[in-house]
Amino acid sequence: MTRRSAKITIVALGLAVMSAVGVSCARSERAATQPSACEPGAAPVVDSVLLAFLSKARAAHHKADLAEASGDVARAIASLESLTGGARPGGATPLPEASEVLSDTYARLADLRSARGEFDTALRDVDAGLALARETTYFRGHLFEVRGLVEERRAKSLPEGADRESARKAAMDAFDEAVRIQDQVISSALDDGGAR
Amino acid sequence: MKREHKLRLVHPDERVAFEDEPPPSPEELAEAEALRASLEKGEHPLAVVLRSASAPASLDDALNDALIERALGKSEAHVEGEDAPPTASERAGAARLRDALDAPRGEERRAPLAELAEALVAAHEPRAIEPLRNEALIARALGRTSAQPRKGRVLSVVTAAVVMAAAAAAGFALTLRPSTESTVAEAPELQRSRSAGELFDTPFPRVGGASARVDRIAGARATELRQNRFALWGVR
Repeated sequence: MTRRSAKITIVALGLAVMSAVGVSCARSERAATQPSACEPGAAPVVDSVLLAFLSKARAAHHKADLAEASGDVARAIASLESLTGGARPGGATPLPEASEVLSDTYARLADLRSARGEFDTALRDVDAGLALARETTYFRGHLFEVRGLVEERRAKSLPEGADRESARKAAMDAFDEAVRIQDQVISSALDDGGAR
Repeated sequence: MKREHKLRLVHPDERVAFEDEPPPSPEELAEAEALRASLEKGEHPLAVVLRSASAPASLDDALNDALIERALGKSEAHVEGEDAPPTASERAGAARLRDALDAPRGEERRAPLAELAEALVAAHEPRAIEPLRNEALIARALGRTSAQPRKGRVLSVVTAAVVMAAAAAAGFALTLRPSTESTVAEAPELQRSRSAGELFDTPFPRVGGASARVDRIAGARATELRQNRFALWGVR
């Protein structure tokens, strides 16, 4: 083997090792970010993308806190809408934590809008939140509680009559559903040995 | 000539005959006639010398002056100087040298000092070397023949191709290893995305507290992300 071919061989071996390590590292990174084909149904691991979304959510909510404290409800709503209208980890089917944070954000939006008399928009926020929080959790129960709050505020805003009574009844139904869900969550926790 | 002869004056038209020698053959007469014609035309070197001796031509004035000054020792200062007039022979030599330097490269240098002049020109302002000649010089310096590098290049390409193929196979082998042996096997030890409900012991208040809940979720998952990274790095 000539010196030239020896050099080329060394370079080729170096490239081979680098490519093999790269493939291996890429495989590890994929395994760390999402389940492989060998693990159907496995949940993705906690990664930096999820943390980035949660960090954005913290910033949006604390910014809304400051806006509310200064009486600027519109700014608070805009801050929360930047979260609900932005990218979500998992896309159309967000990760569980992202879904719960988004549903809680819709609940807060509904509270803020109903306080301004925007009852229909507030109820749409509640529906959007319920579409994300489908499991029996405190988050889903909280959304029904907020729906009852919205309907209660609507009833108070209406004069005595059929509409007011209808809103009042809707509020009662929502509170009942909230209580039922929370009871299920509490029962589930107790079945687990009351570890929580 | 073995026998001695007495010298005497001979008239040009007189034919000389030697008693003890045979008459000239036709070939000898023809050769003598050719020599005579050559002498009369001045083509024979001996004719040039004899003619210069018997009827010398006039010298060039400049050459004549230079020769006189040189003979009288008056031209020593000028000989060394740049203003000394060149002699005819010097001009002729310079012309031959100029013609030799103007001749294409590769031709034989017949003029004296032509090779030295060419070497001086090359040292002062070298010309670009032809690519083929340059390649030949490099190949000769490296001590290889024209056939050897081609063979080595083929071997290098084949070797590199084999090694790259082996690398690709190794990469696929790493990718397709069973999950029990790969890094995926460590995935169950990693913290996975899941509901954050376990972080809360009681139902949420009807109004407020959303920021605190997000803070708790983000804080818990940040801790788990660090744990995942440590696990991937092999830190326990």
